[in-house]
Amino acid sequence: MDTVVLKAPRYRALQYGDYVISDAGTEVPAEHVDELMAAAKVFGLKLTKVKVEV
Amino acid sequence: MPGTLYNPNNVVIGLAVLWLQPYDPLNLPLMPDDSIPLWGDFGDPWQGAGATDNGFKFSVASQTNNVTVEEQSTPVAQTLSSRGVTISASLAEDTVQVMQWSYGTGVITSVAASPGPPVVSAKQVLTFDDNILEWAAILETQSTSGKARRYFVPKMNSGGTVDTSFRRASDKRMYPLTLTSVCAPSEIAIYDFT
Repeated sequence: MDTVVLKAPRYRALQYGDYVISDAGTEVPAEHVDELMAAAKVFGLKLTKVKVEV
Repeated sequence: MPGTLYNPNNVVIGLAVLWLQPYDPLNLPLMPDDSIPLWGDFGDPWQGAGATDNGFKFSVASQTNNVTVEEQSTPVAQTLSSRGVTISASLAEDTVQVMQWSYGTGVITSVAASPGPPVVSAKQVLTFDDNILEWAAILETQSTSGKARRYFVPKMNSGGTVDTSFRRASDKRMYPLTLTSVCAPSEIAIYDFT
């Protein structure tokens, strides 16, 4: 399964369903990245992709 | 002739606005592009601190040691023992982000809404911890030439005593903010655009 490490801005986190994206970085399936990015945008958060594992 | 001894155009009145971003040692804060005009949007990751009760205050407090000799009453020299640079204000916008800046602690977790069942509303949760948060700050005001003057302090701690009064009608809720510089003096700079 392709995975991506998403990172929230420092001192912020996003909880979306079972995922908690922290400022230290959280590994998520690549297929959920767009959904998580969109969810973060609602709160004015910009998640960054720090590592892509294929 | 007093008119030749002073320039009334150098006397300036006016507000300042504060921009903040988390200090990240792996991604050091940078000044915004010089092309951004006075009162322009600095853009991500800078965030405006918003409205205040009585404006922002930029303070430099120098503590000195007097070097004296018995033979005279006045010091023969002064040395610097410490110098504190602070930015302070009472923030007047009642948001979770303002609370985090003011209290200087915690992580804000933004929890997305869930369609359910059961339906769960979106929320933000500020969870306290034992850390003191660090911020990069830019205080922007107008220069004597009508352009931007930016006070850049790349690393500041927020903290201090925060009292918020919840009044029925007499006043708004406010969150005192005290940012204290914890960077090298040479990293603090004032950019005055002419």
